[in-house]
Amino acid sequence: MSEELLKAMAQSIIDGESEIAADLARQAIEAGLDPLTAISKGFVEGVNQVGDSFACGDVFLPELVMAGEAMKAAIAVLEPELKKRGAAREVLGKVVLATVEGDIHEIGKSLVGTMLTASGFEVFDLGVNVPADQILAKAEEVKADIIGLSALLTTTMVRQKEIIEAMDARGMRNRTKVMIGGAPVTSDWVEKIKADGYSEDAIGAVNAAKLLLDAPA
Amino acid sequence: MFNETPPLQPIRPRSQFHIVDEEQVRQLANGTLEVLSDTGVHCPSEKCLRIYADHGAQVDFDRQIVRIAPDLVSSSLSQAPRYYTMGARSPSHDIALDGTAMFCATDGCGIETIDFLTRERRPSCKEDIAKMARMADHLTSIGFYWPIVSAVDHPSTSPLHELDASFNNTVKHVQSETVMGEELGRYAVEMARVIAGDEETMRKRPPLSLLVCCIAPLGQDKEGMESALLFAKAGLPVGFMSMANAGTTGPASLAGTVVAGDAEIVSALVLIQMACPGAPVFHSFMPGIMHPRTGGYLATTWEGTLLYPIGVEMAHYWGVPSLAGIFATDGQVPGWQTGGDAASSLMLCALAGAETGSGLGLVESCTLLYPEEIVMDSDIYHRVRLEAAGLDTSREALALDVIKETGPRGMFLKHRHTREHLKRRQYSDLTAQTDRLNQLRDPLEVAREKANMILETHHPQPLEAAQQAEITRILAAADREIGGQR
Ligand code: B12
Repeated sequence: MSEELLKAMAQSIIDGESEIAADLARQAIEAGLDPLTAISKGFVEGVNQVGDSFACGDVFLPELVMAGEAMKAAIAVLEPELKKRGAAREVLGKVVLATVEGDIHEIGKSLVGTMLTASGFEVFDLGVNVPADQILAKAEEVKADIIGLSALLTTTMVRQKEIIEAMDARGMRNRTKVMIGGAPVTSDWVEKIKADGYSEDAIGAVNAAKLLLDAPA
Repeated sequence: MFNETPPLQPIRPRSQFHIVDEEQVRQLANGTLEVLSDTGVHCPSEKCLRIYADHGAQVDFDRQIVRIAPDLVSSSLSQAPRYYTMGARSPSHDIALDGTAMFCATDGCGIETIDFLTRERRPSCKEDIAKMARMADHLTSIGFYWPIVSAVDHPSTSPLHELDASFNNTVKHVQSETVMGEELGRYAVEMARVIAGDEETMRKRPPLSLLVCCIAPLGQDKEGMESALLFAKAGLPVGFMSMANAGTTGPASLAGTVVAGDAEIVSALVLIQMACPGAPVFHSFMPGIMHPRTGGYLATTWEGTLLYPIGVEMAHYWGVPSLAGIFATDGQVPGWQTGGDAASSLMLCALAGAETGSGLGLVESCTLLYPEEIVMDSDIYHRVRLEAAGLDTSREALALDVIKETGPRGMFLKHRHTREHLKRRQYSDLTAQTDRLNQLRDPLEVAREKANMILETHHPQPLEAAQQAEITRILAAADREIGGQR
């Protein structure tokens, strides 16, 4: 029975069916299945399959995003149960992500968020046009491992620099790494403002994030 | 000493055609009206929300959502002028948006340049804008100038430095797509007043206009809308562009993307007419299609080009002129891809009756300036211009007498009619150049030479000393006041 349930869970993610995924999560709790098992042996299997299909070009972005949404729906049901049992699911790291103040370009930033989530990071996406204070406050609140900053305008790139300076001033750089991106961001700029990581696309962003966490603190 | 700016050569299509028939345009427009009244648009400007509310739109101030009933859309838009003139520093380069001709601009806001001398790729700077303004001034294909790249060397006041470099280096109309927010807006309007000379001229022949992007899906930019209001009050034309990306910020179906994008644009046009009835406005639809794997905004696609002339038809349905999305390309270097994109988008939009169109000179999805690309785009422009103009079938052109006289197996080369008419035929100065051996030369190489030649030799009439001083003063004040704070 639980074997079948786990398979159905994976399938609900592959199909991108949020409601079904949430339903299955509820069934798992009722059946007394360990929520961590439900996640790792059920839903995550689905995410991995979609991730693999995407990597070899068999599916497109909407499949990936819908799988991510279904995963979120399932986790939302399972999280309270996990807490009750005093357990926590394993995440690769916590990322606070935002497009900087004055800039409303959203697509690239959101894609980076999707890819990071799909790869096992816990992502706090603050949206676009986000003031520095808000980003830093969130990072401190959730004890972020990484802050990801997107800027698509040559006029807003400087906000990335300012945020890094503010982090220096607050002494946050040891605990939290900074990763930047956006069309005008170049490796020169990354060096100049002393960011820790950078990528030109969303898949590269995942690699960059993984690299940052392996690097000695 | 300075050089004359050659007269403009707009595209005057002999006839217009429709991509969508009347019934389809109505379907699309009804879609827009339904979305505007049922779903509404997001508008984060308190000032704009008040204007909407004062004029009868349904405003949810907490969620910053505006819903506009169909009647209110039509009554507001009925105030907008269908025809008007965008002025230039030199009156003979004014562009009349009168429905008979199409004028194109350079592309704008690129962020990198292939250096004119070293050919190395580097961030763009103010000097590039100045140089390309001179180039645009010389090319008869360019009706008006978008500061082609960003003044990255002046981060906080770059939009004003872009205007400074433009006004000083071309006598043509300038359109900004970066002056966002009231603070920058006030300085820009002041500059326009200096260029026009006086208030009345500024309204009659506005030397500056503004293009503001909506925020797909169904949103408006606070700073953009507020500078648009400021421009409109001063009598300067303002336009709104949707850059919905089918699949991410627009539905993946083409008609759906038209409706979502059109709704954004119309919501902004309505606001301007509510605040300043009769203000000159324009409609601009320049969507992309999402790359299925990267999510990127694709301009080079098989079907996407179709959306640009449809945008033109929507503009006309709403009774305003259009700025058509043209010349956008994902090509990485000047060549086959950039040429294909330019030709098909320009031809379709010209035949659909676009009044203005964007974009000569950038590659890599409107981000990279190749100095010679504008010369190549220009070549395609003239080709389309001549094709769209159709055929002269006057008696002289039909050449019946000449044909009869020459007769079977004769030779036209020796005929006087041939001598006269061959001079009137227009050959590409890029593709028809021959070398010493009479071999056709590589057009790319010719384009580079031509670009260099223009930059070396063309220096348009400068601003009058008093105007120049005044613009410099405005810029210095902005640098002090805005530059200092940021
Ligand atoms: C779509 C678009 C818009 C849309 C955005 C819609 C939305 N909801 O997001 C709209 C129409 C709203 C818009 C508005 C404007 N835009 Co715009 N826009 C674009 C465009 C065409 C594509 C951007 C995009 O979505 N790309 C697709 C995504 C997938 O790619 P991406 O964003 O680059 O993200 C990838 C990487 O950069 C990286 N990445 C991104 N963020 C991060 C973060 C991290 C941490 C990491 C590691 C990686 C990473 O990974 C992403 C995924 O692969 C670009 C041109 C271009 N080709 O880039 C112009 C462009 C960026 N815009 C430009 C301009 C000028 C504007 C406006 C000022 C125009 C106006 N007159 O109103 C406004 C500014 C509004 C504001 N205040 O921000 C200019 C910028 C010029 C400059 N000097 O910087 C550009 C270059 C176009 C141009 N030449 O005119 N724009």
